[in-house]
This record gives sequence, structure tokens and C-alpha cells, in this order.
Amino acid sequence: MKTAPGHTWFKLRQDRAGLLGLAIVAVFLLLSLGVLFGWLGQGWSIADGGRWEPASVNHWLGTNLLGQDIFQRAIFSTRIAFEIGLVVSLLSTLLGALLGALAGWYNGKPGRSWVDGSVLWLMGVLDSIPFYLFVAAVAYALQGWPWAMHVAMIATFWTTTGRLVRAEVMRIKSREFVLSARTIGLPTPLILLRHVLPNTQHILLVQATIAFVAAIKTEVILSFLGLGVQDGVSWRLMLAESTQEVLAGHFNNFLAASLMLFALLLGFNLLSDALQDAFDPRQASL
Amino acid sequence: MRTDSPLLSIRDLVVKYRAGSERGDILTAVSGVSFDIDAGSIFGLVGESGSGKTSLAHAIMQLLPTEAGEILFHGEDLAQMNAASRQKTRRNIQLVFQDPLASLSPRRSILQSLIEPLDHFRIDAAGQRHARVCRVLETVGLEPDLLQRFPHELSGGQRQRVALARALVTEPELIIADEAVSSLDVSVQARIIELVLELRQQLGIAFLFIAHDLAVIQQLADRVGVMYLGKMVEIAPANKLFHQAAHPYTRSLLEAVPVPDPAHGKPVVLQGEPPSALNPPAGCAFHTRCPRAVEQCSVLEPPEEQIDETGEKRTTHNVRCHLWKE
Amino acid sequence: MSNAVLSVRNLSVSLQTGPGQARVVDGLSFSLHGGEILGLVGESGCGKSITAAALMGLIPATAGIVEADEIMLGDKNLAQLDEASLRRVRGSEISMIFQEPLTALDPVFSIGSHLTTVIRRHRGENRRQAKRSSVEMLERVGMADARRIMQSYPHQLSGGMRQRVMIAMAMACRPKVLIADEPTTALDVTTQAQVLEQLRELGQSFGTAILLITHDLGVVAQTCDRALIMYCGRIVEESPVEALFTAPAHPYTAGLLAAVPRISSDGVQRVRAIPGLAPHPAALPDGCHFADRCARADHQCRTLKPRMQAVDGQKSNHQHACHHPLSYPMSFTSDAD
Repeated sequence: MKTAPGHTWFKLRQDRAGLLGLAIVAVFLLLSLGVLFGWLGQGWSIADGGRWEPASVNHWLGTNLLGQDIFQRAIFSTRIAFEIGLVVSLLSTLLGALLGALAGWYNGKPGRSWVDGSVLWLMGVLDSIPFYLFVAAVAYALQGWPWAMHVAMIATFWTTTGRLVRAEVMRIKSREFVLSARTIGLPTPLILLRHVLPNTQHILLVQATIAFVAAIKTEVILSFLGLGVQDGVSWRLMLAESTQEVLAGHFNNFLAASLMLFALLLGFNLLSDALQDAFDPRQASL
Repeated sequence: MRTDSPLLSIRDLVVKYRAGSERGDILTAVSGVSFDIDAGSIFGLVGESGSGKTSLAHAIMQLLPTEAGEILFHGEDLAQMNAASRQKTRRNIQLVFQDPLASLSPRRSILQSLIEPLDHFRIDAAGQRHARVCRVLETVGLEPDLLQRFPHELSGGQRQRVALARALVTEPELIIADEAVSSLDVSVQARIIELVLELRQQLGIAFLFIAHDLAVIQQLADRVGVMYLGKMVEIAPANKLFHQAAHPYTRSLLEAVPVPDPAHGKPVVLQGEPPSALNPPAGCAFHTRCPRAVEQCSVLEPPEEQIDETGEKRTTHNVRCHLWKE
Repeated sequence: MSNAVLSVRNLSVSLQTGPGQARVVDGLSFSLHGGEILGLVGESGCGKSITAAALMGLIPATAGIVEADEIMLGDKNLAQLDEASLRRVRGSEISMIFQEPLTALDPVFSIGSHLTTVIRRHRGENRRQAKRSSVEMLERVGMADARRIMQSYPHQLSGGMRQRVMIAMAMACRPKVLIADEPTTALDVTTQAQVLEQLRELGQSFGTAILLITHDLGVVAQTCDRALIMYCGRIVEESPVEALFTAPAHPYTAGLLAAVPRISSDGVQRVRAIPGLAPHPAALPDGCHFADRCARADHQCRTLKPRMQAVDGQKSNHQHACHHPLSYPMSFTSDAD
């Protein structure tokens, strides 16, 4: 049997839904890279069509109010979506991992358990503030700074990961391989980085995919509330535009944005579920 | 093989730890244990679960704080050492655990696990560490192609040999093996026993071999100590213990081991349940299950007494029992 | 023999693993008689626990393929029963106890709850009767304070006590067959002796046939009447216990015996390891699986699978699967011939 990652991949391969999810995510990733490198979606702001043109050869999904190509706009938005998803999921997972590991490690250690206590307190405080109020407060305080929303999301998303990592670290730290590292006198930060955190990979990966989905959804909602950056284009902006258009009977904008959004989130959800199953130690081989 | 001062000396060691969340839940895992281990000798420590043997091992490895007593390595008290000496001691005393799968980091390759102590203690020049790892693997009878694999890819016996290799790689003077063969198959266990004897023979490494299986202990130990609920109830040279065990607990352990011989009588069953370490019985801890207990046993704790005549400190036969004379 | 309570013919189990199909149990055949204790002995990975699971019908089709010519429990063929019928049979006619009783007992239910559930399900007693039967069973397995134990929860009992509760549960319905999978491996030596004694005593008084799965030869010697030695999914020797230890026919059995440390009161008998490693179940060699580690192996051993034959063509109750079995008189600690 191959290595631990090999074994996980083997189980993942057998999960059809998971592979579909992986495929969808991969497609979107390629699209966003394409936009990033300037190969796709570059014509999103050009208003060269008539108002609300139906789908045609020039404009695959037609045009919007300003004559801009809907398809180009939808593609261009994948980059924005990925950016917010990646930034928030990576940073919140990282923060959760570090704080959770520290809390779990120092839990119960005489003299140092204040570390655990403080992290738990912080988690408790953040979790009890109503999320949207918190975000509104941060957005207001950071007046128009483009990263305000990211910061607000990272500051609240990390707690879930933190709790899970803390519990896992408390389980791992009494296992013999950690004791082994302590007996040769390795310093604590090294033990945490080298031996403890890598064994929480399964939690981190799954949490990261969940956070990605949550970030994108949250961003859409926040925009409807009037927060968040309003220039450029993104699916949420397209959706916002389309609220008026739909009343007039033009659905392309709405459909394009919501289908893209739905597809990406579905893909990530499928992938996330499949990853959880693949990492499940109970289904190990003989 | 024996010099004047012992390699490791435990004097009246007491180890306690908090067993629960209440203030009063202090468990005395080891209460006043003393023994010596000479360089190149194998000391067998016998005890069932709850006897305190693992806490003792962890205390020697500086994983648990000691409440009272001393642990002397080459005559120096571990608690009084400065950081540099303590690091040096860490190199010289290594620990092998019962569950080899749990004792090797699951996401690190065998090579990484074996080289870690070398990197940490800065043994050899960086370029030569790989060679040393290969040599050590050979000593335990494994092929170098194992180095790229991960712990779960190996069999139980191979893993335990890797654990042993990891302990050997720093060239320690003492290896503590905590139930190191208990979870292994019989034939693999036999191989590890052979290996331990070879290591002692060829490299002069001393062992503190902890086990609950007396038959395994007899294969290896020069001197044996028996622990019950944190106390050393009997300690003697191996042949004396197996011929003339004096303590009732030792005798019941000897008789309870199922013998692979159908002609042998049935094992003698010890009545009663093992007592709780949180609430030890008064007097002699064993009196609740002892077939020979008298009133004195439930009141007064028996002191450690020497029951043979030899003057040599490290070959005495000592017992904690009021009734050893009978 | 005529009064076989359980008769297994040609049981095989194949599991899907990463590298490929692994035939972890290969053509097992044996019989179990009422009131006897049959040991199923082997090292880890030999397939003994999978055999037990297969007999109980506990291997899901997604995990592995179970095939057998027949698994006769009395007049029922377990190999052909559907899940509903199997559930009726499990616990009442054939039951099982496991190695780690803490995980086999549900921590949120009291001991009394566990016992009465089993009894009511299979014996149809009402609550009061079931409670009384439960207390009776607990006393039968040597629990002094049975009423208090009924109210206790699994984590409040010691390992030995939990195992005795498991025995009480398994035997409550006077099953024809009890499969005990390493029941004492996790227990201290002193408790082990108590539990085995209990098992033996109950089995004899209820007439239950016990299949005792273990890797501990000492346990086999003390508790079993007959034993089956398994290696890599096959039975290599089947014998009454006396003959197994004094005159083992298969080199693997002899190797195991030489590797077991024994306490001796004069001098130390050095153990000897069996050279080599057992093959991976997904990569089993042709012929005899033990050939690579056997000093007596020749070309025939590596190509032709040995079949079970009686020792010296005589008594049919001592059988082995070897082309070059050990013969006697000779000391069994020597493997040279």
C-alpha cells in the first residue's frame, strides 16, 4: 500500500461524486487562471452590443443593460470569486490551525493553561457576536478599504477550524510519537510544526473547502446589504443588476451569474464531502 | 560488566499526577521505589496495569515531574542538571514504546524518523547521518529500502525494529523498553528478544525492560523487580526470583501465567479485583487479594527487607512482606 | 463425529485492498462439537478474526466476498440465510464476544439494559422476568454484587468485569455456539485466568460449543480441548491439544512452540524466532504459504498446495497440511531433520 496521501487518493478515486466535484473545481480554477493571465474574459467592460441582446455568435449569452457581453463578464468574475474564496479560506484555516494547536497543546499544562483559556475566550467572544453586525462594524471602521470584508470573514471563520484542531491536538499530544519527540528534547514549536499539525491535515483540508464556499456565499449576501466593493464586475454585481432586468423579462444576466455560482459551490461541496470520506480512518484497509 | 557505581540509580522515587479535575484527585503512581541498573545489564521490571511501571519510565525520561526522590544517571541527579547535561542525558537514555504504530510519526517516512535524533543532537556531520541510519537498520536486521516507506506500510515486527533502531541511533547507554514486545506476535517477539540480547552482547547497552509477562522477562533479565500499585514489592537477581520468589504477589504472577503445556496444572486464579490507585488499601496494598494475609497486613505497611545474606548491594534479594520468613 | 454443532466446509473470504484482491481465508473446513472448546490459533493477519466475522455473517458485501460450501448450524445453512434470518440466529443460537469489551458495550446504557435487551429480544420474556434472568446470569459468571452491577455503566467496571458481562450477554440465551475473539488479550494475566475459567465452566454446563480465537499458546494449552493452527488463511494443523504440544506435525506449529517463552525454574530455555516474514495477503505464493520460511521446503512445497492429511495415516483427529511433516520421536524444539 502506498503512502498516506496515496491511500487517500485511492479512496477518492472511487467516489464518483467526489471526482465530479474535483473536476468542476478544476475547470473553474483553470478559468480563473485564464482570466488572471489575461487570456479570457478580458472584454467584460466593452460595451459593444446593443442593450439586452439575446444570445448570439458574438455574445454567447447576450448582453446586459449597457451592451456588455454577459458571458465575458461571467468568466471574468471567476477570478474575483476564487480570489476571495482562496484568501479567506487559506488565512482563516491557517489562523485556526495555529491558535487551535496552541490551545490544545497548552490545555491542562500547569502554568501555561492560560494560553488555552485565552484562545477559548476569544473564540467564545467572536462566536457570540452576530456575524453581519460584526462585518458591518468592521466595514464601517475600515471605511472603503477593499480588504475590509476579507478581514471580517477571516476574523470569524477561523473559530470553527480552531475548535476542531484544538480537540484533535488534545488527542494527539499524548500519543507515543509525540512523547518520543519530547524525549529527545525537541522544542515545542518544532514538535507542533513537524509532528502535530501535519496530523491534522485531514481536518484542515476539509475545513478549507468549507470556508471557501462560505466565503463566496457570504460575499454575495454582504453585497446585497450594500457592503463590499462595488466597482469592477463579479457575480454578485451581475445578480444585483439583474434584479431590475428580470422584472423587464431579461434573464440572461441572472441565469449566467447564478448558474456559475451554483456550479462552483456545488463542485466544492461535493469535493469537500468526498475528502471527508477519503480521510476517514475508520475505513482503513485490513 | 559491573563497575563500582551503577549506570542508573533510582532512590525513593515518588511520582504523582492529577487524575481528575477535582482538587483531591492526586494519584500516586510511584511511591518510594529504589533500584540500580549497572552498565550493560538488563533489569526486568514486572507489573500489571496500574502498577506504576509506565509512570516510572516516563519520569526517568523527564516526561513527568517527580514529587520526591532522585534519579541519578552516572551519579548525577537529573533534577539538578543544567540544560546541557540534561540534553546529553537525553541522548544516552532512549525509550521504546509498546505500540510501534503509535510511536512513529504517521506522516513522516522511516528515514525522517530515524534521522531526526541525529539532526537534533547534531551527531556526525550532516552528510554522514544517512550512512549511520543505514548501519543501524542493518543492526536490527532491516533493509535500507524501508527508508522511503511510511509506518503504516510496515508489519508490526518491522515497526518495532524501526522503533528500536531509532533508539539505537544515538548510541545510548540505556534503553528503556516499555512493554516493547507485548503487542507483537510470538515469533516476532522471539526475534526482538534475540535482538535485545545481541545488542547487549555486542554494544554493551543496558536495558530497563518493562513487561507484565514473566516468561519474557526470564529470557532477558539479569535482575528483576516486581511492582504493585506503585511500590516495589520484590527485587532479586533473576534466577533467585524464579526459583525462590518470596512475595505472594510474585508467586501468584508466576502461577497465573498460562503455560503452553497441557500437562501442566491449571493456573492458580487470584481472587478479587485490582485495587484503585486513587484509593489504595491501608497497610500492604496487596492484602485485599493476598491468600496469606493476616491482620497486621491491613494495618501496617511492610518495610523493604533484605532476605538473603549477600553483602553486595546490587545482588540482594529484597521483599516487602510481613510474612516472608514463613 | 456425529454430534457436530457447527460444521464449516470450504469457507473462503476475499477482500479488496489497495494492491489487489486478497484471499484472507482460503478453503477452511472444520467442525465444532457441543461442550468442547476449539482453539483457532494464529498470528495477526492469519485470518482468524475474519473467519469469525464471516461465520456470523458480519462481513458486508462491499467489504469482501464470502464463499462457503456450507456453514451448518444444526440444520440451518448460515451461508444461505438472508439478513433477517441471520439476525434471529445471532445472539440466540450463535453469539460472539470480542477483545475489547469497552467498545463492545454502549457507554450510555447500563449493564442491566444491555442484558435485558438481549434476553427480551431472543427469549421473549417480559421486563420483570428478563431482569431476574439477567441477575441470574451475572451471578453465573461470578459477579458477587449482581444487583449493583445491573445499575452500573460500562466505564465504571474493570476490564475483567466487563468481559464477564459480555460472556453473560452472549450466554444468556444458551446459544449452541459461542465465538470468543481474543477475549482475554486485553486483560491482565491474573484476570485472564479468571475469565477463561468462567468461560469453560459455563460452556460445559450449558453444553455450548466454544470457538476460542487466540494467538496465545498458553491459553490454548490450559483451556482448549482441540486446536486449529492457521497460517495465511489456511489451516495447517488440527489436533487434540495434547498431541499438538508434544508432537506437532507442521513445521510452523513447531516454530511457534519454539518461539514461546516458558518460565522454568532451572536455567533459561532460549526462545527461537521463525526466520523470514509472513507474505502479504494480496501477494501469496503458490504452493504452501509457509515454504519460504521452512527449513524443510523443496520444489514440491513451492508448487503444490498441501492438503489436509492424518498424521501417520492413523487417527483422523490429528491432521496437518504439509508435504514433509515432522515425525517422532524427536524434540520439538529442533527444526533440523
